[in-house]
Amino acid sequence: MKNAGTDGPQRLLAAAIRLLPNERRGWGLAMLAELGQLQHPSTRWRFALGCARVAIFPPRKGGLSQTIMEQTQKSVIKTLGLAMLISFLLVLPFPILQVVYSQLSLRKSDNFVLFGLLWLLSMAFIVSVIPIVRTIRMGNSLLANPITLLLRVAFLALLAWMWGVIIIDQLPCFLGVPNCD
Amino acid sequence: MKRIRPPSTQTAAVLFALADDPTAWRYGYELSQQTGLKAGSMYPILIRLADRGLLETAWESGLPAGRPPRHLYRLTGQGIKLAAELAAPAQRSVKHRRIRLRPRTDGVS
Repeated sequence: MKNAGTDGPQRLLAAAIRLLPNERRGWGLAMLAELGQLQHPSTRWRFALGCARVAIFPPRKGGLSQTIMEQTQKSVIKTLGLAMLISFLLVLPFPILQVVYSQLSLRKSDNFVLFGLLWLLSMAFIVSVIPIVRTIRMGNSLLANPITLLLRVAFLALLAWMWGVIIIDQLPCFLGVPNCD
Repeated sequence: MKRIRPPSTQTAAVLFALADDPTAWRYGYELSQQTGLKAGSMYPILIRLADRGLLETAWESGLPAGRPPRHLYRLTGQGIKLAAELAAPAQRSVKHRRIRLRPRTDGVS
């Protein structure tokens, strides 16, 4: 048998294995050990080439499309869940004020629309802010895509302005000021 | 609910090869020869089967010095079950075909 440590197939496979992600490195070593058992040069080459292809393009856990789908779904669910919770907590003091000061006028359907709108605006704000926060936390530059950043900031400013205007306009009603509409 | 995709013909071939003797540990190249699959097709299948908990892997032990240990494979209980499930319709279909292919004797002199 040829010295397997120095021949072409061995070198090729060893180089390809270095590209494998850590969680797949064991499989690379398995292929290398198997190659060590093959003696015929053409068999070794065929085996090493096949394995090198696997090492360069290893199967991803659960398959690529499934992984992407799962990660996207998880990320979207997490973002929405977080946004819903924070917005709920942000809006919650206002219905409480209304209940306390206006003797349960919360039952009016107008109030539900108002609080629903405030909740949706807060949610939209948080959903837009989360990607910016993630980018900063990951250590990436926000200026990598300046147009997107500018549009996002403008949208956030609009949402904040709308939220502020509604709160300022409706605060007397929340506090039970008479003849408030 | 998680969607379970039926395995490909190649994956089924590997499962059947491993299910021939489910208790025995098998080598990658040996499986490759038995199924006629090249290494480039065989290893992704083995990796996916292991990821799904259908394949158990181990390293050879107690080897003479100088020989690197080889990776060994055999089906897990779940893998054996899947191989049996896949084999059942295939066997039914073979039986069915045999019945249909039986020569007609009635009315033949």
